Amino acid sequence: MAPNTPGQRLRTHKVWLPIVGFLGGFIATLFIFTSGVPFVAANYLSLAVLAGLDSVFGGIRAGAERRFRSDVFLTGFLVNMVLAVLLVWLGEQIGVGDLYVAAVVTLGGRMFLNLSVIRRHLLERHPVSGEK
Amino acid sequence: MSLSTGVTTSVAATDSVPVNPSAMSPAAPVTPKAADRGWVLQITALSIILGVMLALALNTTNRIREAGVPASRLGVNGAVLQAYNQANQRLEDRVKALQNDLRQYEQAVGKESEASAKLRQEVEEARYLAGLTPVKGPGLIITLRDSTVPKLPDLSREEYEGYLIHDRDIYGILNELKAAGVEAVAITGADRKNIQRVVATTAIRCVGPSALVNNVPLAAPYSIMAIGSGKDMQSALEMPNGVVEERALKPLKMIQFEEASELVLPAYSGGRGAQYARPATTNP
Repeated sequence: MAPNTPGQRLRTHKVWLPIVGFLGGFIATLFIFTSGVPFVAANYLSLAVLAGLDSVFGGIRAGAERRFRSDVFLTGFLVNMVLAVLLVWLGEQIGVGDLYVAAVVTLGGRMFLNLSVIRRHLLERHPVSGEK
Repeated sequence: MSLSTGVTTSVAATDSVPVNPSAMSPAAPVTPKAADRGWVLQITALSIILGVMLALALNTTNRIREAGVPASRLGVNGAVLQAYNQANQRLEDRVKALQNDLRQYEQAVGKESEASAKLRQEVEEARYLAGLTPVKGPGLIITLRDSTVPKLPDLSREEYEGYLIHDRDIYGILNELKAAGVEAVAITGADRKNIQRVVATTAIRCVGPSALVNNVPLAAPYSIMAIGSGKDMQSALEMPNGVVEERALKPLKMIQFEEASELVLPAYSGGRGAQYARPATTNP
């Protein structure tokens, strides 16, 4: 096995940064904007959140696999979000109110997939640092 | 060398879901590329946005829950409910303002002259009869609730419904109370603060699980507060073949009487005024 360099160790530790950022944004908003958004936007917002969550997990996975590309990540984040919101809107327009379920199932499935990959990466990395 | 490793890694990881250990090759570059280094920060930035959005969604959902909108199709129903709630509030304010105006006019009339004192007295009496003044006095509280007695097996739909309080039970009892000389009645539901005075135009209707009284929804258990002789009213309700016995309200433990030494009933708070009816003859 390759020697565990300081750079690599640092990167593994920095994986916690997104979690801290997420919690920071979450808690701040929870107490500042207690009124939320208008009721009409509730469905759209929930789907956008799901799409964003999927993108973030995808990004973490790509980063762990060292094939992270900012353009792919950013466009994926935006396009997924817009697509998910469009799907909700379309469903409401054509009276198939449950069309958003398609997005929920797809994004949810992908999130589980990405999470399992991230977990494997972390588990594989752990014995390396343990041996040292 | 480092470039070719990067390519093989990406291909392997896209094609197969479980991670191939060899993809995490020990030969991978030890010093990360500049673009590679920024990924944690980028993800952190988007995570913050995500956190903000999630919290917003949570706050919105909480507000929807507080507003009591049914969970399905929130988008549409929520907006409609909000609009109606606001319109309702405006109209209620208007009713209050108009009633206030009216009271002031009546007081002004009262001050004007001695001759109008009798007129004012008449108006007061009419207001009492119409249920437009709060009243207090001794009386009876009749509480009606859905039966908690274990239901017999194999009930027909009709028999099953007999275990529940319906609008007809309430107005059946109201009718009996009127016959027994009740002087003022009000109905309240599970929310004891919401007391609806029964006036001549009061309708009592079942809408789903709740009863609309004066178009205000009330939930079981319902309490009918009646000012009058408690003994007279109770015996009128309990007479053989009367409304209580006929519906078997007592054996099903659906009714409960309670004498009160002083009941306070609020005034009727809804809108009023005749849109179609006109006096046919002048007063003698």
